[in-house]
Amino acid sequence: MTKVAAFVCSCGEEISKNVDVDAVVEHIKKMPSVIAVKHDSLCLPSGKEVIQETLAREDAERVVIAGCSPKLNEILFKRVLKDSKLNPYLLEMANIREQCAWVHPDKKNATDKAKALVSAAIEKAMKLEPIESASFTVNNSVLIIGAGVAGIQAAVDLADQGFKVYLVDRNPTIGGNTNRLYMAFPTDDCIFCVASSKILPGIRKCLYRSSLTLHPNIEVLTYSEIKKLEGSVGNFRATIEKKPKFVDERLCIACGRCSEVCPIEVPNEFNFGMNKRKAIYIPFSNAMPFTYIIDEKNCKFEACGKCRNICPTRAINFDQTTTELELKTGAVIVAIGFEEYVPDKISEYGFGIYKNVVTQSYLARMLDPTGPTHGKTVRLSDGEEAKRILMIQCVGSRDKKTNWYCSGICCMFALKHAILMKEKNPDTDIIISYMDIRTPGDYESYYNKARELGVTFLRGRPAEIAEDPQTKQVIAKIEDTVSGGTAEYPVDLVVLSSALVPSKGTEDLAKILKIEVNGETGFVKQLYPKLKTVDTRIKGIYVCGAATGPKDIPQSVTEGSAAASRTASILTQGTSRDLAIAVVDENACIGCEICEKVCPHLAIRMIAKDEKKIAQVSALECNGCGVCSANCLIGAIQLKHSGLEQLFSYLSGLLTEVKKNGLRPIIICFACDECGYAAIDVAGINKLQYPANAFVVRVPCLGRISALEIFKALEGGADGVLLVGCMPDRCHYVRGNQWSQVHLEITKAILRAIGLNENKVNMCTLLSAEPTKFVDAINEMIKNLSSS
Amino acid sequence: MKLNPKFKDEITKIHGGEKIKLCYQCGTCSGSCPITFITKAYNPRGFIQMALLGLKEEVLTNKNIWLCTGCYSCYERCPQGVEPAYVIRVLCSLAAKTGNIPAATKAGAQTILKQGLLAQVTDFVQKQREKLGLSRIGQTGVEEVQKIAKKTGFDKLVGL
Repeated sequence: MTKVAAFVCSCGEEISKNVDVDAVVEHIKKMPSVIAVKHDSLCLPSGKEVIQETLAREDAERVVIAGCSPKLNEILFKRVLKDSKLNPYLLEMANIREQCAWVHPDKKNATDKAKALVSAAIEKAMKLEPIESASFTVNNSVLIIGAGVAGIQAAVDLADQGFKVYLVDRNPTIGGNTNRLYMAFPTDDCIFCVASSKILPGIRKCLYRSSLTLHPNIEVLTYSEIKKLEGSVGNFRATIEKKPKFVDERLCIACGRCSEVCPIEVPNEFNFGMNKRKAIYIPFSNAMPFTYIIDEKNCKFEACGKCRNICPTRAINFDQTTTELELKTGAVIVAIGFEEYVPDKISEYGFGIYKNVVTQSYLARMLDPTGPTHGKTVRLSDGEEAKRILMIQCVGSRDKKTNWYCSGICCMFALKHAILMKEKNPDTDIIISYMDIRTPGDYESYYNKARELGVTFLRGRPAEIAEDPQTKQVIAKIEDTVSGGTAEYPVDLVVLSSALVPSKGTEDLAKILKIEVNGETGFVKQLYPKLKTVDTRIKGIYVCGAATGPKDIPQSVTEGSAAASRTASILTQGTSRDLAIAVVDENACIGCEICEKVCPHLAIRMIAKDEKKIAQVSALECNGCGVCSANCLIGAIQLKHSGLEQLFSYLSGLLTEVKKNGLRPIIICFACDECGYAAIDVAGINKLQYPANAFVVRVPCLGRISALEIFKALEGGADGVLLVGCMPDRCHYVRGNQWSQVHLEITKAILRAIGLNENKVNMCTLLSAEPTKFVDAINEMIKNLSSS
Repeated sequence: MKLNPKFKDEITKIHGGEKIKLCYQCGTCSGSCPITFITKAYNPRGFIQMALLGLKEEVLTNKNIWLCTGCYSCYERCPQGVEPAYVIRVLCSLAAKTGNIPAATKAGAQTILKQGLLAQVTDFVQKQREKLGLSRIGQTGVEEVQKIAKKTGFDKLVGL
C-alpha cells in the first residue's frame, strides 16, 4: 500500500483551541500505512525540517498536510516536497483552519469534521499521480495585424527586444487612422508621429522618417491581409495575401512623375472625396512605405501605359499579381483599430443628404494645411469659408438605436478642432451642442481653453437638421436644456462628432483567429476586462488599442506596449509548464468532438490516429479547468490533478467518516478553486460561524463537476450538494460555471424524474468578498433539508 | 416644494412609463416637439425631469401636460428609448385620477361618451350632408364605448 506521511498542524493554538489535534492524529494513525505527525507551525522553518526529516526517514510516497488553507501555503509545501526529491503534486492539503477551526466553535463537531477532512485527504493522496513539467520550443517571431499607433508601438517594442516582427496592414501605408487626423492631443503636435526605435535616437519620429521598414527585425507587409491561421501558441502558421500595388516598393523613389502624366482623376478617398487624386498615387505625404500605388479599379493599364513609360527607375509593373505567403510565428497581436461611424442612418441629421453636414474626420482633413482645402474650413456646397459652425456630440454614441456606448474621445476631438479654428480665426462662431462634456484629467484644460476662446456650449441634443435650399445653410433645431426653449440655429457647417466603431472585417478576422468579439459592440473581446486587458481567449493571441473599444493615442500606445510585454513573456518564459492538464485515454475516446466544442480556451483539437478520430489536448493551451472531463460522456478525458478516481476517493473517505458522527444533514460543497473556495476561506478569516455540516470539496472550476460527481456524493450518503463558484460571467475559465449550471439542471431533472427532492442540489455563485452568501446558502440548505 | 422620490417608481409600474428612469435629459424630445417650439410652457423633457425629481404634485397639476398632440416625434428620436409620448400619457392618466383634467379635455371626453364623436354633429351639418347626397352621421358604436367607459370607470373620471 502507498505510504502516506500526514502532518497535522495546530497553528500555534489557532487550530488546537477548537480542534482536538491529538485526537485527529490518533484517529489517522489507525489508518493503514499512514505516518501521522503533529506540529505547531508547519509553515515555519522548524516545520519544514520536520517534514523533510520524516519524509527521508519513513520513505513516504505521498504527503498530507492538515492546517491552514492551501491558498496560503500550498506552493510553500510543494517546494518542501521538491526539496525532498518528491514530486510536488503528490501533496494533498486538508484545510482544518479557515474551513474548520475558525468557523465551528463547538469543539466536538470541529474535531469530528477535522478527522473526516484529514482522512479524506489521505484517501485522495493515495490516488495522486506525479505531474512532470515540460518545455516547448516556440517560434521567436510575432505577427502583428494592423499597423496603426498600437500595432506600430508593439512592433517597435518587440523588434527592439530582438523578436522578429511581421507588421501587416491591409492599407497601402501604415499609420492607420491617425494619418488623417492632423493634430494630436494631448501634446498638440503632429498626428503621424510614432515612437522611435533602437535604430534611431530620440523620443519620436515622423512616420515617413521612422525607418520602420529598415529596422532589421521588422518586416512591413502593406496591402496585405491574413487569410488563415493554424497551429497554436508558439507555433502558429499564418497565410497572408498580398495584393498587387503594381509598383515595386524597392524601386520606387516617389518622384511623382507617374502621377503627373496619369490622365485619370478620381475622388481622393483619403480626403473623403473633397479633392481628386490620380489612378497612380501616393496615399498621403507622410506615407510609409513612401511609394506609389496603382488603383486597380480605375487604371487602364496597358491601354494607357504612360506612367510605366515615364518611370525613371522602371518600378511600375502591370503584371504584378496577388501573392500568398506563409509566416511561422510564435504569437499574434491584433491591432486592427477602429473606424469612424458613418452617420447616414441617423437620417434626421442629414449626413449624406446635405453637403454642409460633415464629420470631425472631414474637418480634420480641412484643417490640415496640406489637405484638400489647404487648411481652410469651408462649406462643401460652394467652397466658401464657414463662418458659423455647429458641432454635435454623441452622434451614434450613447444612442440605443445605433451604438449604446460612449466613444470616449469625441469630446476631445471636437474641443481640439474648435480651439484650432478659434486660434486661427477668432471671428469664427463655434457652437458645440452636447449632453455631457467628458474630459477626464488633464483633458479638462481643453474644455477650459475652448471656453476662454469663446466657443459657445449649448447643452442639448439636436432634434433635426434641415437645409435652406437657397443659401445651403444648414439649420439645426435644438432645445437649450439649461434655459429651456427650442430654437433654430442656422450655420454654414455642421460637424458631427461621430462614434468610433469596430473596423470593417473585425468579425471575419475574429473567426479566422478563433477569438471572440463583444456581442453588444462588435469590438474584440478581452479575456478579462479588468486584468487581462490585452489577452484574448486564445493563448498567444493578444489584442491592443482601439480593437477592443474606443481609445485615444496614449491609451493605444500603452496597450501596444502591454501587448508586446505579454507576447515577450510568453515567448521567453511561457515555454515550460507543469502538465497539470487534461489527458485523453486514446483507447476509450470515440472522437465525438464534445470536448473540442466545450473547451473554453479551444485547447482541444481532433486528430486522426491509427485510422481513428481522437481528441488531442494542446499542452501549452490547456488551463486545466476540467470542463472537458465533466462533459465527456464516457470519461475518456480526465484531469491529471483532479481526476475522477481522486475525487471519488476523497468523497468516499470523507463520507465514510462523516456518517459515523451522526451529524445530519450532510452537505457536500463542490467549490471551484477560485472565487468559490476563496469566499469560503474568507468566511473563515472573518470568523463567520456556520454549522459543521458543510464539507468542501475543492475542484479547479465548477465546470469540472457533472451530474456524475453530484450523484456520487448523494449515493455516498450526502443529503445535499451545494455548488459554490464564481459569479456568472466572472468565471476564471471564461465559462466553466455556465457548464456547471447545465449539469445542475440535468441533476435536478433526474432527481425530479426519480421522485426525489430536487432541492438536494443547489448552486451558490459569489465573489470572494461575499462570504456571507456562502454562510446564508449553507444555513438555507440545512433548513430546507431538515424540514423535508 | 415637496419631493416624492418614489414617484418615478410609481410611473415605471404603469404601462408606457417603464423606461422613464433611463432619461438623461438630452432634449431630443423637446427639440423635436412641435408644441415646445411654440411655447416653452410645454416641455416633455422638463416634465420627465420633474417626475424624476419627485415633483409629483407640481407636474400632475400642471395643465400643460395635456398639450401633447401625439405626433410621436419624441418617441421616434429618443436615443434612450424612454418613449416620452407614452410617459406624458401616463402623467395625464395619473393627473386625471387625482381630478386634474382641464375643462376642455373633460368636455371633449363627455362628448365622445355621449355621441361617440369628439365634435358635435349639429342639424346644420346633417342638412348640408343631405344636400350633398351624403348619409346622415349616426351614433355607431357609442354603446360599446359607453360600456368600456363604465367598466373602466372612465365615465366617472370625466364627470358623467
